Amino acid sequence: MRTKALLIAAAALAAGVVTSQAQVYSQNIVGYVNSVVPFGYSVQSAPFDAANGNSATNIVINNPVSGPGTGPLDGAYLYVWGGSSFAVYTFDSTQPTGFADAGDNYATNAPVLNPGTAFYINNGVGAYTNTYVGTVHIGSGTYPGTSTNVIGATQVYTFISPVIPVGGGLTSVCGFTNVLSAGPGTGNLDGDYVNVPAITNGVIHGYIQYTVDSTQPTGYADPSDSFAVPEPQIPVAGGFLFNNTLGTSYNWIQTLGQ
Amino acid sequence: MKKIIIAAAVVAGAFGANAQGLVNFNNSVSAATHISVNSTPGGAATGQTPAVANNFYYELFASATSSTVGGSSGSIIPPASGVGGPYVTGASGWIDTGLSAVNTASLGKVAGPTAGAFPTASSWAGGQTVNIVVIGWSANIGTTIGALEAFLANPTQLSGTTYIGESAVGSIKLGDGSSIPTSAVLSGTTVPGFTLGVTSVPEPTSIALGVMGGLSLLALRRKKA
Repeated sequence: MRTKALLIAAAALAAGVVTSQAQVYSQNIVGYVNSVVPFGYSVQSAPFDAANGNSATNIVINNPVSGPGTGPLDGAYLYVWGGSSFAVYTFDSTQPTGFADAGDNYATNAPVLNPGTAFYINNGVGAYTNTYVGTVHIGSGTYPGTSTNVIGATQVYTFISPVIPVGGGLTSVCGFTNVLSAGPGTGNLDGDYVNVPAITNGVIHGYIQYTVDSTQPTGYADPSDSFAVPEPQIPVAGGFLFNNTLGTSYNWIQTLGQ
Repeated sequence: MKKIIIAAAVVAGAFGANAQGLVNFNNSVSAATHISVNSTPGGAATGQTPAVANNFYYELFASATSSTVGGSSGSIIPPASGVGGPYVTGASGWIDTGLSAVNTASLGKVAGPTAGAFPTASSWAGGQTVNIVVIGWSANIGTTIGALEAFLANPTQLSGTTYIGESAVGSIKLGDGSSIPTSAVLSGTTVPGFTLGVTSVPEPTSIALGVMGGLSLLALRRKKA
């Protein structure tokens, strides 16, 4: 996926809604990412909170060009992970909700696509550039841009992404840190699996599996945990399937610019 | 490449995937996936299947080895005379998946099973890529693929206009009900929309008149001799 991150976020620290009566202000970091939705399957994720909520209609823009049925993604499919399988939605601007069921027979509510959640788009219509725009998600942290994606242990598999607009090495850039309680081999992610979709020419051929292993110099090993492999690369607005084998939740804490 | 194959196998197994491959037998709002009809035998498409449900039926065929039907990978409509073909019914290397669909009350729309499973006998599991062909026909032929096969074996004039058509050959990665998503049969990435063509089958009375005419000519010839 060719993703061009046009982050004007850092500069656009819209801090300043200062009132004369009190020290009330907001520190919203706004920005946008242009992401190509190519022909066929691609992994996508929302790098921002959309202004009007994270309904799929606000995240992946399919505004009709010249009336209902002329949306640039009309007839493409959205796949949202439900814990064990994908729920399928059809982009359909003729429906009042903007989405229909898998068979494109009746309207369905648009799913919510919060930052930190990855999804597939199967685009049989033609390459399209979606502009993800909004505010950098802020969790409970006080520093602007700090956010936590809590990956629960109840779902063995989760389809996740960075919760903020960053891309690159999963640990070194995206902050997916294997925190050691003691020496090597005591990481809180050790033994978990990162599964990166292997997509060629729009077809999902499977998943490239990495074992999280703090005893390896790269922090990652092959599927059988026999030898070190380079850390996974996750692009901006990308994602991966995470297999949490340890039965405990994991807090993926990310801070923009750190 | 080896790593990818290994990974795919590991993940599929870990997810407890559906044994049989899955497809969504439908098209979408995208006009390029819609079914059209013509109005004269062998003619070009003149519009989409009308917005009257249950007037057209469809069957999905698949093959792991064949990428053509009768030597062609293109779509088929009946020619100016006769029913045309050869069609995928009975074609070597192709099997009927048993998955059927029907038109709906929307122009050009096809609706069949969501997450429809390929037959157990095919041994085609989720994650496998297979070639597919969709054949369609009008309801006056019958509602089952058996009725279409009977008609093709012995074409006769039926009440109302009779349509038959077959899609181009496409391919699809079968879903596994888990980590490999299930795709639509008729889409821009699998099989595009196609045309159902009017068949031109001589009426029985026309055939009888023709035979009588021939016999009369023979009789005249004998008299002169």
